[in-house]
Parts: sequence; structure tokens; C-alpha cells
Amino acid sequence: MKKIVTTALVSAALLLIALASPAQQRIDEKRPASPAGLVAVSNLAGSVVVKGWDKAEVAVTGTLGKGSERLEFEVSGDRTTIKVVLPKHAHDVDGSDLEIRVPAGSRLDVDTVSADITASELTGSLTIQTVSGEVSAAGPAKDVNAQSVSGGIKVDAGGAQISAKTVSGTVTVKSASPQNVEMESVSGDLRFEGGLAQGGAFRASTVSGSVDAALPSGLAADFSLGTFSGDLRSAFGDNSTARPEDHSGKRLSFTTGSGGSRVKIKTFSGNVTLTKR
Amino acid sequence: MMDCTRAADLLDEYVDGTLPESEARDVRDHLLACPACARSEAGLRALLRRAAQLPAEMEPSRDLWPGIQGRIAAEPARTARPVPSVAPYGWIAAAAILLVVLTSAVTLWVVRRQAPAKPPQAVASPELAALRMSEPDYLQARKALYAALQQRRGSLSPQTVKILDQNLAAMDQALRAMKAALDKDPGNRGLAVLIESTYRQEIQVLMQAASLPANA
Repeated sequence: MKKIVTTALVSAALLLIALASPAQQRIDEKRPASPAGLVAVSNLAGSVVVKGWDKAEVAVTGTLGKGSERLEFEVSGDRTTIKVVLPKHAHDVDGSDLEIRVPAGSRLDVDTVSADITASELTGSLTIQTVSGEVSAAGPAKDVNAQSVSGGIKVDAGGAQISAKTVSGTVTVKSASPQNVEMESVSGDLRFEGGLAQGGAFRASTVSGSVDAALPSGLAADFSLGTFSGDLRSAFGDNSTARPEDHSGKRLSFTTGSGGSRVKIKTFSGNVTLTKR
Repeated sequence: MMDCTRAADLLDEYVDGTLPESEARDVRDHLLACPACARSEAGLRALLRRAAQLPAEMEPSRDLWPGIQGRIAAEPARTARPVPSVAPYGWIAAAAILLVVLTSAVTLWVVRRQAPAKPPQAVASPELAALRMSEPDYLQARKALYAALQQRRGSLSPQTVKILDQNLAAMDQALRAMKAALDKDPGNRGLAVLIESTYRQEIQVLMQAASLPANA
């Protein structure tokens, strides 16, 4: 008898613990949405995967992390908001994994802390901000603006404007012929492979990260390359002109072809390497 | 038709009247068609009218680095002093970034106008003079944002606090190294520009941190 009562009490206690700690919840929701509206996503931890499609609809599937309060999924005019809401005094909350399909022409705005972000098959603009999540943006997005503190950023996009900034993450950008590329870091390495539209501009600036850029061999551009204490190697121009001038550091300024496009690279102690592709 | 990014790139020279006629015409056409860029042009011209009252000779401001180092070196665990009533974080952030962007753009433009084309080696470069002028504004914005972040630290996850601390410390170290190099080589324009862009990045990270929700 005593054993039965004890077992019952233990079972009841376990049941209470389970009820008090909400388990993961599956998500599967849809809302109609504007074909070129704004989709704003906020998820602190876990992952966010966004893909464009040809429906005037936003669909969210995935898993709400254990301990999360709810998923806020609202449409107001041409703005869709998707947000993982946590309890005010949350402890031991698991990350949520969201898979989101949005109209391909949407403007996407994603904000996370540690959740990784993947965006693809979108033609609108992408704005991505994270602290330590890894960012991956691919596809024909019109423009990409990605920022992180320590997370790495990978962009493989065909749009006109690309801006990728981080403090210590690694930034890798591939793009066939963007109009403007801006890459910035403090200690993270910056890597670029691609071309530039006629009259386009490529700017890379880092304190101690390295800059590696592979540019078309026939690129007609005005180059301004400089480093205070790093090494400077360029397959373009004449490296023998990397003279200290009147000041410390190395600098190369030259024009290839008829010029027009602009390539500006600046580092403090990071190495600069330009290669032809 | 010129796009906004290209127009923004050329706006300084356009207002300065130093653009080749064909480019100036393209900028003018863009400004006629783009209200946002037209507002930027009007704002810049208004600021420059005020900046024209600045003295022709600009002495570098006092060296603020010892004060910055002391503040940054403070232990994160130290109890924060009560912060005087301030506007909501969004206002601080918006004000900080606006102040920083406009100030640096204006002072750099003003200094370029007033500095000789090839400054003598002993004289600071226009970029350094601009940095000295805008530095107090950066530091003011930075102080407000650090105070905002300090208030928030207890509500952020230890992992987030650690990442922020590491990266802010890395930026501070980078700024100190570059400042030391610039002190030895005050004419180095590239260094002054790198320092200013690192300041901007620091402000951006602080703004991001100050707006993180609880438990982030």
C-alpha cells in the first residue's frame, strides 16, 4: 500500500513538473500577405530560415522552443510580424527553429541574438541583424544589408547593393556585378569574389582582419589600397609603387583601363591581397 | 538615372561646387526627382552655413584618450551609478547616430575646404582635424550608450554579455593601437579615417546592445 501511494505521489509530482515546463510546440500557420510587403522576424535563439515563393502568403512552420511563451504572427496592412515571445523572467528557454516562406518580392527584416539566419530566393531587400548568429543570404535580392557582432556573414547575391559589417566574424561576399559593395570589420577577415557594375564601387575596411578580393582581370577601375602595418599584394597595378610616401604604411593608387569603377581598401594591420579572376 | 547611393557619394562635392558639369547635372536631376536626397542636400547646406562660422584655425582638442581608457577599463561587475533620467533608448540611439554622422560629414567637409591642398608634414591632416572635432561628439554618444548598456546588463544572458564585452574590448584595443600610431604620424589620413569608422562601428554595436530585449 505504502509503495502504491509513493508511486502515485512521484507520478503526480512528475506530471506537475511536466505541466510547469512547457514542452516544444510545433508551429504550422499561414496568413495572406502583400506580394511586396515588409516581413519582420524576431527570434532570439535557434534558427530562422526564410525562402521566397510565388504565393501572396506567409507560412511559418517549425518548433517553438521549450519555455517560449508564444509565437506572435500578425499581418497589418503590408507589414507581417513574426516574433517568438518569451516570458518576462524566462530561464532555461530553448531556441526556436522557424522556417518561413514569404512572397518573393517581400522586404525582409530579421533580428536575432544567437539564432542563425538563412535567407534565399528573395528579390526584395534584406536587412539582417544579429549578435552571434551565422548569416547566410543567397539569391537575387535587390540589396542586402547584414550586420553582426561576432557571427559570420556569407552573401552570395545578385543584387545591386551589398553591405556586410561585423566586428569579429568572417565576411564572405560573392556577387557577379553589384553596384556597391561595402565590407567592414574590426578583426574579422573580409573575402570578396566577383565583379563590379560599370561605375560601381567596392569598399573594404578592417583594423586587423585580412582582405582578400578576387576581381575580374579586365576590371576598369580607380584603385586606392592602403595598410598601416600589414602586407599589401595586388595582381593589379604595379606593386613597386607601394611606397611609404611621407608617412608610415603602404599605399597603392592606380587606374586600370579607363577607370570609372572604384576599389578602396583600407586596413590598419591586416594584410591586403588582390587577385585576378 | 543616378541612384541614391551614388548621389550620396557625390553630394559633398556637389555642394562644394567641385563636380564636373556632367556629374553635377546628374546629381541635380536626381535631387529634383528624389525628395529624400533633396532633404539631405538641404540639411547639409544648412549645417554648412552654421559651420562657416567656425574659426579658420582649428586647434586639436585636448587628448581625451586617458579619460576613455579609465572609463573602459572599469570592471563590468562594478555597480552602476544611478543614471540621470534620460530619454528612451530609441531616442538616445537615434540622436547618437544622427549627431555622429552629421558632425563627421560636416567637419570633414569644412576642414577640407579650409585646409591647404598639401598640408605641411608637421600639421595635422584634414582628416585628423575632422576627427578631433567630431571626437567629443562620439565620446558623448558613447558615454550615453554605455550607460544604457550598463543598466541592461543584468537582464541579458551571460553568453550575450560575454560576446559584447569581448568585442567592445577588441574595438577599444584597436582604437588605442591606431591612436598611438596616429600620434606618431599625425599626417596619416588613412589612419584618421579608420579610427572614425571604428568609432562608428562601436556606436552601432552599443546601439544594438542597448536595444536588446530582456533574456537576449
